[in-house]
Amino acid sequence: MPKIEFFYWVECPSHERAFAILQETMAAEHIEAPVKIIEVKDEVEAERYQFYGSPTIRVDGVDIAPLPEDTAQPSLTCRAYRRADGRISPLPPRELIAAAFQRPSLTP
Amino acid sequence: MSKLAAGDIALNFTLPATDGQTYTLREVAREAKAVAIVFTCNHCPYARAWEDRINAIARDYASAGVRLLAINSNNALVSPGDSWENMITRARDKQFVFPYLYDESQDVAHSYGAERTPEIFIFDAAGTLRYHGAPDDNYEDEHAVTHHFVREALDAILADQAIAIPETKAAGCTIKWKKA
Repeated sequence: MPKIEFFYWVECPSHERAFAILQETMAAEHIEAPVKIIEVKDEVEAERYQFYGSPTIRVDGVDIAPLPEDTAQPSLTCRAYRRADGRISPLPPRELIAAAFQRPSLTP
Repeated sequence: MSKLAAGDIALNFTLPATDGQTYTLREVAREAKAVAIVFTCNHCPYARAWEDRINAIARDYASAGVRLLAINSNNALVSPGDSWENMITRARDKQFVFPYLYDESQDVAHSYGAERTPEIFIFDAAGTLRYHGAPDDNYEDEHAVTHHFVREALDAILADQAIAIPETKAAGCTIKWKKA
Protein backbone atom coordinates (compact mmCIF):
# COMPACT_ATOMS: atom_id res chain seq x y z
CA MET A 1 0.00 0.00 0.00
CA PRO A 2 1.56 3.31 -1.03
CA LYS A 3 2.14 6.05 1.47
CA ILE A 4 0.30 9.10 0.17
CA GLU A 5 0.76 12.55 1.63
CA PHE A 6 -1.10 15.74 0.74
CA PHE A 7 0.50 18.98 1.93
CA TYR A 8 -1.30 22.30 1.68
CA TRP A 9 -1.19 25.92 2.78
CA VAL A 10 -4.61 27.29 3.56
CA GLU A 11 -3.96 30.63 1.79
CA CYS A 12 -3.83 28.92 -1.61
CA PRO A 13 -7.44 28.47 -2.66
CA SER A 14 -6.86 25.43 -4.87
CA HIS A 15 -6.21 22.87 -2.14
CA GLU A 16 -9.78 21.61 -1.80
CA ARG A 17 -10.11 21.12 -5.55
CA ALA A 18 -6.65 19.55 -5.67
CA PHE A 19 -7.58 17.07 -2.96
CA ALA A 20 -10.71 16.13 -4.90
CA ILE A 21 -8.57 15.53 -8.00
CA LEU A 22 -6.26 13.31 -5.95
CA GLN A 23 -9.18 11.25 -4.67
CA GLU A 24 -10.74 10.98 -8.12
CA THR A 25 -7.44 9.85 -9.62
CA MET A 26 -6.92 7.29 -6.87
CA ALA A 27 -10.35 5.86 -7.59
CA ALA A 28 -9.65 5.74 -11.31
CA GLU A 29 -6.33 3.97 -10.69
CA HIS A 30 -7.89 1.59 -8.14
CA ILE A 31 -5.61 2.84 -5.40
CA GLU A 32 -7.01 2.14 -1.97
CA ALA A 33 -4.86 3.76 0.65
CA PRO A 34 -5.27 6.39 3.32
CA VAL A 35 -4.10 9.89 2.50
CA LYS A 36 -2.25 11.77 5.19
CA ILE A 37 -3.33 15.42 5.05
CA ILE A 38 -0.79 17.87 6.38
CA GLU A 39 -1.49 21.58 6.75
CA VAL A 40 1.71 23.59 6.55
CA LYS A 41 1.19 26.58 8.79
CA ASP A 42 4.40 28.57 8.86
CA GLU A 43 7.87 28.90 7.39
CA VAL A 44 9.37 26.63 10.03
CA GLU A 45 7.03 23.84 9.00
CA ALA A 46 7.69 24.60 5.33
CA GLU A 47 11.38 24.03 5.98
CA ARG A 48 10.76 20.90 8.04
CA TYR A 49 8.56 19.33 5.36
CA GLN A 50 10.68 20.69 2.47
CA PHE A 51 7.47 22.25 1.25
CA TYR A 52 7.87 24.26 -1.96
CA GLY A 53 4.27 25.24 -2.53
CA SER A 54 0.65 24.33 -2.07
CA PRO A 55 -0.58 21.80 -2.88
CA THR A 56 2.19 19.21 -2.81
CA ILE A 57 1.49 15.49 -3.20
CA ARG A 58 4.03 12.80 -2.40
CA VAL A 59 3.73 9.10 -3.03
CA ASP A 60 6.11 7.03 -0.93
CA GLY A 61 7.94 10.25 -0.14
CA VAL A 62 8.48 11.20 -3.78
CA ASP A 63 6.91 14.33 -5.22
CA ILE A 64 4.52 13.67 -8.10
CA ALA A 65 6.15 16.44 -10.16
CA PRO A 66 9.52 18.12 -10.61
CA LEU A 67 9.89 21.30 -8.62
CA PRO A 68 9.22 24.53 -10.54
CA GLU A 69 12.25 26.06 -12.26
CA ASP A 70 12.23 29.18 -10.10
CA THR A 71 12.07 27.29 -6.82
CA ALA A 72 14.51 28.81 -4.37
CA GLN A 73 13.76 27.52 -0.92
CA PRO A 74 10.95 25.93 1.03
CA SER A 75 8.25 28.53 1.65
CA LEU A 76 4.59 29.25 2.09
CA THR A 77 3.48 29.86 -1.45
CA CYS A 78 1.22 28.45 -4.13
CA ARG A 79 2.64 25.87 -6.46
CA ALA A 80 2.59 26.02 -10.22
CA TYR A 81 2.07 22.80 -12.19
CA ARG A 82 2.69 22.49 -15.89
CA ARG A 83 -0.16 20.82 -17.72
CA ALA A 84 0.25 18.48 -20.66
CA ASP A 85 -0.64 21.32 -23.03
CA GLY A 86 2.14 23.45 -21.56
CA ARG A 87 -0.07 25.82 -19.64
CA ILE A 88 0.47 26.58 -15.96
CA SER A 89 -2.13 25.64 -13.39
CA PRO A 90 -2.45 25.82 -9.60
CA LEU A 91 -3.87 22.30 -9.74
CA PRO A 92 -1.85 19.08 -10.02
CA PRO A 93 -2.55 17.38 -13.36
CA ARG A 94 -4.28 14.03 -13.10
CA GLU A 95 -1.72 12.38 -15.37
CA LEU A 96 1.11 13.28 -13.00
CA ILE A 97 -0.76 11.81 -10.05
CA ALA A 98 -1.58 8.68 -12.01
CA ALA A 99 2.03 8.32 -13.15
CA ALA A 100 3.19 8.49 -9.54
CA PHE A 101 1.06 5.44 -8.79
CA GLN A 102 2.61 3.58 -11.72
CA ARG A 103 6.20 3.90 -10.59
CA PRO A 104 8.03 0.57 -10.58
CA SER A 105 8.44 0.52 -6.82
CA LEU A 106 4.67 0.59 -6.45
CA THR A 107 3.80 -2.07 -9.00
CA PRO A 108 3.89 -5.74 -8.08
CA MET B 1 -4.80 47.17 5.87
CA SER B 2 -7.74 49.08 4.42
CA LYS B 3 -8.80 48.28 0.89
CA LEU B 4 -10.16 50.68 -1.67
CA ALA B 5 -13.92 50.30 -1.88
CA ALA B 6 -16.42 50.95 -4.63
CA GLY B 7 -16.74 54.67 -5.16
CA ASP B 8 -13.25 55.47 -3.91
CA ILE B 9 -10.98 57.55 -6.09
CA ALA B 10 -7.83 56.07 -7.64
CA LEU B 11 -4.65 56.78 -5.72
CA ASN B 12 -1.92 58.22 -7.88
CA PHE B 13 1.46 56.50 -8.20
CA THR B 14 4.57 56.58 -10.31
CA LEU B 15 6.40 53.33 -11.00
CA PRO B 16 9.06 52.02 -13.38
CA ALA B 17 8.09 49.48 -16.02
CA THR B 18 9.91 46.67 -17.74
CA ASP B 19 9.75 48.59 -21.05
CA GLY B 20 12.20 51.13 -19.65
CA GLN B 21 9.62 53.85 -19.10
CA THR B 22 8.13 55.28 -15.94
CA TYR B 23 4.36 55.49 -15.63
CA THR B 24 2.27 57.88 -13.56
CA LEU B 25 -1.33 56.81 -13.13
CA ARG B 26 -2.68 60.35 -13.43
CA GLU B 27 -1.04 60.71 -16.84
CA VAL B 28 -2.07 57.26 -18.05
CA ALA B 29 -5.67 57.95 -17.03
CA ARG B 30 -5.85 61.44 -18.52
CA GLU B 31 -7.64 60.47 -21.71
CA ALA B 32 -8.68 56.94 -20.82
CA LYS B 33 -12.28 55.78 -20.68
CA ALA B 34 -11.27 53.32 -17.97
CA VAL B 35 -8.11 52.10 -16.28
CA ALA B 36 -7.60 48.57 -15.02
CA ILE B 37 -4.88 48.06 -12.42
CA VAL B 38 -3.85 44.44 -12.07
CA PHE B 39 -1.73 43.37 -9.12
CA THR B 40 0.07 40.31 -10.42
CA CYS B 41 3.47 38.64 -10.46
CA ASN B 42 5.63 36.12 -12.29
CA HIS B 43 5.59 33.07 -10.08
CA CYS B 44 2.02 32.63 -8.89
CA PRO B 45 0.18 29.86 -10.75
CA TYR B 46 -3.07 31.81 -10.62
CA ALA B 47 -1.43 34.86 -12.13
CA ARG B 48 0.14 32.66 -14.78
CA ALA B 49 -3.10 30.84 -15.49
CA TRP B 50 -4.82 34.16 -16.11
CA GLU B 51 -2.06 36.23 -17.72
CA ASP B 52 -2.88 35.35 -21.34
CA ARG B 53 -6.49 36.30 -20.70
CA ILE B 54 -5.40 39.60 -19.12
CA ASN B 55 -3.13 40.27 -22.07
CA ALA B 56 -6.08 39.64 -24.38
CA ILE B 57 -8.26 42.06 -22.41
CA ALA B 58 -5.63 44.79 -22.70
CA ARG B 59 -5.37 44.17 -26.43
CA ASP B 60 -9.11 43.91 -27.06
CA TYR B 61 -10.08 47.06 -25.17
CA ALA B 62 -7.18 49.35 -26.10
CA SER B 63 -9.01 50.84 -29.07
CA ALA B 64 -11.99 51.61 -26.82
CA GLY B 65 -9.80 53.79 -24.64
CA VAL B 66 -9.12 51.33 -21.83
CA ARG B 67 -5.64 51.30 -20.34
CA LEU B 68 -4.32 48.39 -18.29
CA LEU B 69 -1.40 48.57 -15.91
CA ALA B 70 0.02 45.46 -14.26
CA ILE B 71 1.91 45.84 -10.99
CA ASN B 72 4.20 43.37 -9.29
CA SER B 73 4.52 44.20 -5.59
CA ASN B 74 6.08 40.97 -4.39
CA ASN B 75 9.25 41.05 -2.34
CA ALA B 76 11.87 39.33 -4.47
CA LEU B 77 13.77 38.19 -1.39
CA VAL B 78 10.75 36.09 -0.43
CA SER B 79 9.88 35.18 -4.03
CA PRO B 80 13.00 35.31 -6.24
CA GLY B 81 10.99 34.49 -9.32
CA ASP B 82 9.40 37.91 -9.02
CA SER B 83 12.61 39.92 -9.25
CA TRP B 84 12.94 42.92 -11.56
CA GLU B 85 15.14 40.91 -13.92
CA ASN B 86 12.62 38.11 -14.08
CA MET B 87 9.83 40.63 -14.69
CA ILE B 88 11.68 41.91 -17.74
CA THR B 89 12.12 38.37 -19.03
CA ARG B 90 8.49 37.46 -18.44
CA ALA B 91 7.12 40.60 -20.08
CA ARG B 92 9.26 39.89 -23.13
CA ASP B 93 8.55 36.16 -23.32
CA LYS B 94 4.80 36.58 -22.84
CA GLN B 95 4.66 39.62 -25.11
CA PHE B 96 2.72 41.71 -22.64
CA VAL B 97 0.90 44.52 -24.43
CA PHE B 98 0.51 46.44 -21.16
CA PRO B 99 3.11 48.16 -18.98
CA TYR B 100 4.44 45.81 -16.30
CA LEU B 101 5.33 47.95 -13.29
CA TYR B 102 7.50 47.20 -10.30
CA ASP B 103 6.25 48.32 -6.89
CA GLU B 104 9.46 47.52 -5.09
CA SER B 105 8.57 49.51 -1.97
CA GLN B 106 5.15 47.82 -1.88
CA ASP B 107 3.63 51.24 -1.15
CA VAL B 108 1.11 50.99 -3.98
CA ALA B 109 -0.13 47.56 -2.93
CA HIS B 110 -0.44 48.78 0.65
CA SER B 111 -2.29 51.95 -0.35
CA TYR B 112 -4.75 50.04 -2.53
CA GLY B 113 -5.16 47.27 0.02
CA ALA B 114 -4.22 44.63 -2.52
CA GLU B 115 -3.65 41.19 -1.04
CA ARG B 116 -3.62 38.70 -3.89
CA THR B 117 -2.20 38.05 -7.32
CA PRO B 118 -4.05 38.56 -9.50
CA GLU B 119 -6.31 41.23 -8.00
CA ILE B 120 -7.90 43.82 -10.24
CA PHE B 121 -9.16 47.35 -9.62
CA ILE B 122 -11.05 49.07 -12.46
CA PHE B 123 -11.61 52.81 -12.45
CA ASP B 124 -13.86 54.80 -14.77
CA ALA B 125 -12.92 57.99 -16.60
CA ALA B 126 -13.59 60.02 -13.45
CA GLY B 127 -11.14 57.85 -11.52
CA THR B 128 -13.84 56.16 -9.47
CA LEU B 129 -13.43 52.53 -8.48
CA ARG B 130 -16.13 50.56 -10.27
CA TYR B 131 -14.91 46.94 -10.10
CA HIS B 132 -12.65 45.01 -7.78
CA GLY B 133 -11.77 41.32 -7.75
CA ALA B 134 -10.88 38.43 -10.03
CA PRO B 135 -10.51 38.45 -13.83
CA ASP B 136 -13.28 35.87 -14.31
CA ASP B 137 -14.83 32.93 -12.51
CA ASN B 138 -12.62 30.06 -13.64
CA TYR B 139 -8.83 30.09 -13.30
CA GLU B 140 -8.66 26.45 -14.28
CA ASP B 141 -10.32 26.49 -17.66
CA GLU B 142 -10.90 29.60 -19.72
CA HIS B 143 -13.37 27.70 -21.89
CA ALA B 144 -15.55 27.02 -18.85
CA VAL B 145 -15.81 30.64 -17.74
CA THR B 146 -19.38 31.70 -17.13
CA HIS B 147 -18.71 35.27 -15.98
CA HIS B 148 -16.00 37.38 -17.56
CA PHE B 149 -16.01 39.84 -14.67
CA VAL B 150 -13.47 42.29 -16.07
CA ARG B 151 -14.85 42.31 -19.59
CA GLU B 152 -18.38 42.70 -18.28
CA ALA B 153 -17.29 45.58 -16.04
CA LEU B 154 -15.46 47.33 -18.86
CA ASP B 155 -18.40 46.88 -21.22
CA ALA B 156 -20.68 48.45 -18.61
CA ILE B 157 -18.34 51.38 -17.98
CA LEU B 158 -17.94 52.04 -21.70
CA ALA B 159 -21.73 51.92 -22.11
CA ASP B 160 -22.22 54.20 -19.09
CA GLN B 161 -24.22 51.51 -17.34
CA ALA B 162 -24.21 49.97 -13.89
CA ILE B 163 -21.92 46.98 -13.39
CA ALA B 164 -23.89 43.85 -12.59
CA ILE B 165 -21.12 42.27 -10.50
CA PRO B 166 -18.94 45.08 -9.12
CA GLU B 167 -17.12 43.00 -6.50
CA THR B 168 -15.76 39.46 -6.51
CA LYS B 169 -13.30 37.54 -4.41
CA ALA B 170 -9.76 37.72 -5.75
CA ALA B 171 -8.57 34.11 -6.00
CA GLY B 172 -4.83 33.81 -6.05
CA CYS B 173 -1.56 33.83 -4.17
CA THR B 174 -0.94 36.21 -1.33
CA ILE B 175 1.31 39.18 -2.04
CA LYS B 176 4.73 38.42 -0.61
CA TRP B 177 5.39 41.21 1.87
CA LYS B 178 8.69 42.35 3.23
CA LYS B 179 9.36 40.89 6.60
CA ALA B 180 9.14 43.40 9.43
